[in-house]
Amino acid sequence: MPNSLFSFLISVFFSLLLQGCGERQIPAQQQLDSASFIIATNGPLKYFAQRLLEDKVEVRMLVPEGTDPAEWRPDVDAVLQLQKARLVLLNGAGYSSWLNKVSISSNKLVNTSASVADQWIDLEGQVTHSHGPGGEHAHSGYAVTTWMDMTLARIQAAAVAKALHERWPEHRELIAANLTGLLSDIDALDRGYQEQAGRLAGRKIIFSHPVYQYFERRYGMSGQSLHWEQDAMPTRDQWQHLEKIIDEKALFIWEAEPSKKISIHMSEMSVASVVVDPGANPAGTDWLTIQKKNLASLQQVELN
Amino acid sequence: MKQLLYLSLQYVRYHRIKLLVLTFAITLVSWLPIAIQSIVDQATEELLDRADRTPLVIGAPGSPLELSLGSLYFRSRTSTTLPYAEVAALEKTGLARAIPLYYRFRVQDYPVVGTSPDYFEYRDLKIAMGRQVAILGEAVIGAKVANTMGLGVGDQIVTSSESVFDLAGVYPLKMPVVGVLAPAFSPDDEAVFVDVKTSWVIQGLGHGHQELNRSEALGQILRREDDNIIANASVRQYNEITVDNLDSFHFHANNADNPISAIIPVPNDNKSAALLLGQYQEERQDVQIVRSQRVIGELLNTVFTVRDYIVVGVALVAIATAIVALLVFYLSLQSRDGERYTLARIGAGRFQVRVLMAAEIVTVLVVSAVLTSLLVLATRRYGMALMQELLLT
Repeated sequence: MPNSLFSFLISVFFSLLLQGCGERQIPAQQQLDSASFIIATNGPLKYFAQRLLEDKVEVRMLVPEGTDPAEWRPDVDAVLQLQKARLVLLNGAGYSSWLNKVSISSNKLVNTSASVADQWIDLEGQVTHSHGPGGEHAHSGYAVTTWMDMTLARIQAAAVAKALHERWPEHRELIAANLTGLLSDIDALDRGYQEQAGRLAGRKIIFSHPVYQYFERRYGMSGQSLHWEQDAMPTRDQWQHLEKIIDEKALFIWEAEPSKKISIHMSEMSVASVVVDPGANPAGTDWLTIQKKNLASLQQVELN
Repeated sequence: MKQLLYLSLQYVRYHRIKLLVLTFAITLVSWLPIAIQSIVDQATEELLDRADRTPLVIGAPGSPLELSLGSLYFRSRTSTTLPYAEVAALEKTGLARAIPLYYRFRVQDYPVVGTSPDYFEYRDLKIAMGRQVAILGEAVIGAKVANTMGLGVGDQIVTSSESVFDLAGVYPLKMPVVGVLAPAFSPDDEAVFVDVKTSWVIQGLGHGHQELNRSEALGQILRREDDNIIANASVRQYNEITVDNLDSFHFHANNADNPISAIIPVPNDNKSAALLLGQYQEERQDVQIVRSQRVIGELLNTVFTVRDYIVVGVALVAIATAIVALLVFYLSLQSRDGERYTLARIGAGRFQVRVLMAAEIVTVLVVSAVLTSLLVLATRRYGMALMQELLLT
């Protein structure tokens, strides 16, 4: 009994001591530690991040070579990598449609075109549906190749710089210095595209794919978009359709270099063609080089 | 000595009822205050530890206690929610990261906690088997859920319906278990973790169904109005998210408008925490930010007050019991005068007589002490679980 009493008194003492401590200070939280690498969801964003940070932080792109990042879906391993990244650069405009189907912390995600969401181009003709109490809803919305309008690419580059600066403040000066150079290069591309658009004004433009909406709007190069693959010979009907819509001044803009057979067939039809690659997933090169190549190709288009 | 022991045992055997009652009374009054103290101490430690690790919680206006108990222990099924847009709003302050929590749904008795991967890092939860949640519809379960339900990686769990009579409502979602957490000895052991978007699917805010543009859906289409297809309620909705139907899952509303129960802010440092607290308390009337330590501290103060009353009551009972025990021993010794006389007459020494008389008291005290110790050990082992049941359910 005396031992029990002693134990009780000791317990009461400590309990009172605990109560006497009162409210504690809000402790500093441990920083949630994510590995220091960046994942870019397309070629331009990868280029912007690499150009701004040089080799200070690893920039990864999980999309396999030859796959359109807009069509890519991450598998489980890719999602686990995305979860570990410190920063995931998104294009915005619904480019990464898989985002709602994977588990990633929102603080890692930076939508680089969010500030110009009002400039995203609505895709018309989307089928909506309604059933049950949920009401009517559509499943897709915007054109995604935002960076083909260089003024938007400029804003996206600045958004990347801001995100990098927030996460790696120790490289602030490097990022700022490289941003100046990057924006200057993008401005030069913008001037170049404007110049070529002016030179080619009046030409009937046909695009191999409907991915040039922002390019068309910015540079006034409106045209008709088809669904032609550069490595798949178009059907007879497709050639006949092309024949109907072209004139002697038509210019066919390819997303990538077409096969030799297709090129020969187009030459036979006297259709001028040029490659303007958006550079969504550059293989063995970078986005800026591709854009410069696009400009050089446009410069070589002869005026009829 | 052998004879003394024999006589003592015979005495105890003959008066066993009286001695049993006495032993039981002394054991009880010795154990009760220690047990209360032990349980309260453990509860205090555990509750404060969780609150210390989660100093701030943001939720919809309402009961701060409900919010703290919900976001810390998932013990609340509060109907108040705040829009997911608050996560972005908090992160925009630059003062903290935001971890969303949505704990409205259940798998049997276990809460389904919709959150982000940051939660696991924040709570330092380790995956014992399998992997982290990666895709919509996947679940990671706590150690206790795995043990009690006999589940492991590759098994499936089904969410519980909120109302069995709501035939037109949300159907249960079947979810694959992709990971089992290592025991954390916290409420996380008793939770089923999913991505917050999966919680919205459970709620019916997102769903997957057969393509209405396809020919096989013709029977479900009521009419077409321009680009809008109006289907009847027989459209087959998936109750399981698989690789094959994942692409068909979509959310009706903007994610920003979808509900969550609470947000755990992870401030950058002490200064950010203070600024955040001030900013939310002064500028935001539509949400509340609570200091978990304060709320849990207030809850514990109530517990302490109750405990103090109980301890005082038990102490009074203990004093009364001690007095009664002394009286019993005294009367017992008085009634054993004849026994002492007989022992002296048959040649027992004074020491031997005293030992025989003391044997009664020593037996009662020793047995009481042993029983009290066993009960205290049991209390320390199981008392906390009992306390949690009493406090939090």
